[in-house]
Amino acid sequence: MVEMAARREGRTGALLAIGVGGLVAGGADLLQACVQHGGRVPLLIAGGLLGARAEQGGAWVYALGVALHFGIALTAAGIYYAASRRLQFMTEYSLLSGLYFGLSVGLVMDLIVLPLCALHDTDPWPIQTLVYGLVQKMIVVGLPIAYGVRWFGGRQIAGDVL
Amino acid sequence: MEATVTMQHSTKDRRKTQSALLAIGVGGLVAAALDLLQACVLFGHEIILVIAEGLVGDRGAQGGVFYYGLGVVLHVFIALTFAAFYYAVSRKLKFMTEYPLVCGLCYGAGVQLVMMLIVLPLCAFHQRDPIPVKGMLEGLAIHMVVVGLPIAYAVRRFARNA
Repeated sequence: MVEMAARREGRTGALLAIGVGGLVAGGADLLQACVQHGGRVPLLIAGGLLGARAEQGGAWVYALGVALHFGIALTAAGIYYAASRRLQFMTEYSLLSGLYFGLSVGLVMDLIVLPLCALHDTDPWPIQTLVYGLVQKMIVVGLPIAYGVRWFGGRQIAGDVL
Repeated sequence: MEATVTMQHSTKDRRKTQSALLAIGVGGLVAAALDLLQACVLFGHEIILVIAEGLVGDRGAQGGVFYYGLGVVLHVFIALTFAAFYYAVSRKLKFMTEYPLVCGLCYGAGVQLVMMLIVLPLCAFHQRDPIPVKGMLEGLAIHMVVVGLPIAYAVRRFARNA
């Protein structure tokens, strides 16, 4: 009975941590991207799935771009949450772990996802662009996810969610 | 009585210094050797002159025993510096010795990013060219293994925690 209640509490904590972290990271990242590159950013994101067709625009393509973006952010938050159940230091040192996680998210997106998705972006990265992008991801993606998991993820004992 | 306590402290300090030097020395030298070996296999032994160019500019390309020696010394010095940094940080962040696999791989990636995005553009080599995606991915994977892991495991194996 107590175990079931603890499990339910753990599941709620996990969903809350992933939800808050992922949504804040997704929102902040989309906001900074739109401020920097304009309102067509969701179309570019949708282009990752649809290819060149996404450039035509339209409400559903915009919505698809936004949904994809938040899907990726929530996935990243899910990965951080899952890893933090095994590696306790990820919740103890949220600042450091969050910044490094944001850096990793930036690298995975720039070096693996963009070349492999329908955008097929294999152009070499100018150093300055890469550095700015990574620093932004460290702050607007890594930190919200790390602190979301720290504040809402509940405590873990010997790798189990409690 | 006081003299005995002082002697015990100085013996403890000496042991700690010795273990620190051993950890940094073994980690840094193994990382340097493996990294230089893989670089020479991949790019030829001219890569040593490219390292020397980081300090002396175009003159390094002339070749000769001096510039080869300088290149090797610089390479080993950089590896030892990174090993010392890992050691110093691991004194505060205990998880770096508890999880050498994860932390070593992350540290190797960090070393590659620092070298590619900060050191190479700022040194006499003045790297300005955009970075190819494939080259960056290969560099990250290689440095995670040949630089990060030797340093992390040497610090775990040889450094005293007291």
